[in-house]
Amino acid sequence: MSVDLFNKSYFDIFNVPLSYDIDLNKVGEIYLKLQKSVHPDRYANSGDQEKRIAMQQTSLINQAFYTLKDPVSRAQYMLKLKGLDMDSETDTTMDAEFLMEQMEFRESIMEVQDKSDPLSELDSMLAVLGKKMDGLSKDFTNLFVNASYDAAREAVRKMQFIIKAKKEVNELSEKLEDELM
Amino acid sequence: MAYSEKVMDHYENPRNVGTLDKDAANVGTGMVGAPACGDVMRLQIQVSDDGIIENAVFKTYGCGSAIASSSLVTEWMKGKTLEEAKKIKNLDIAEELALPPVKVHCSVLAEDAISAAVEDYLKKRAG
Repeated sequence: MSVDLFNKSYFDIFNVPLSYDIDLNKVGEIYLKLQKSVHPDRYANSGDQEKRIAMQQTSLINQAFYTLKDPVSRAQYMLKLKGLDMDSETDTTMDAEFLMEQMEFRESIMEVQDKSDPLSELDSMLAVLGKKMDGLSKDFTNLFVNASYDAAREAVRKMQFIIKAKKEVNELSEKLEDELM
Repeated sequence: MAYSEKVMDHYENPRNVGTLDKDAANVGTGMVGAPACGDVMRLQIQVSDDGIIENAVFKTYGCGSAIASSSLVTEWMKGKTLEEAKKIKNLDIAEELALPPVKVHCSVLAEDAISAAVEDYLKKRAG
């Protein structure tokens, strides 16, 4: 493989279009092929520089794969390619209604333990969050296609809250399941 | 990572947790969020006719530093004018709580919550 890899976007590395709806199976297959092609075993008899480049390629391929595989980091990467700053931790203003909804959602997660069947409550919460995530993914796809990058960024920022809420629901489910055993 | 004693104190005994009527004319509500960690913070102030913050309450879903930052600012804001409250900066909060650099964004969240609450109140007054 050529060193050109370093100048390619993650999407180009995996030969998929710059789009949110990429074929992750295809990306996975290409990932395995690429990893084989730069595997250290193939460079056992090569010079130090070639070995070093192969190692850098391995790590680049890994980073590219995990970035594209995760919905939020894929979306963030797409916006970064369009020049948007996605790392800013100091940007805290958001759609107040959405935040209020998130707060209420977190409250209901906390209160679920007092319910008669908390596990099924948590399951339905996961279903609600899954739907929200699907909705935001669709929004993002359309906004990005229409080059409405600021609005697309807002959709990604919302996704991050949904992911966090999902994580909390899952953690609580596990904890309650452990207690039942 | 170890939390400072002050963070632990606010985390274990948060001051002024609660809710004020967000529709009341003398109440300002600030809702802010940090996507990177999924933290959500609500800060509310109750303001007297002569512009003094009589009461400040918060509710935060987030890490210890975010809870401590919001708890601390409710203490600091009480008795202050709106102008004085707006002068509370994230670095003051970070310094008081000895927040490590990776947690400084929690204090930014609290500073932004103050601005949002003050603005919400002023908007109500103007409207």
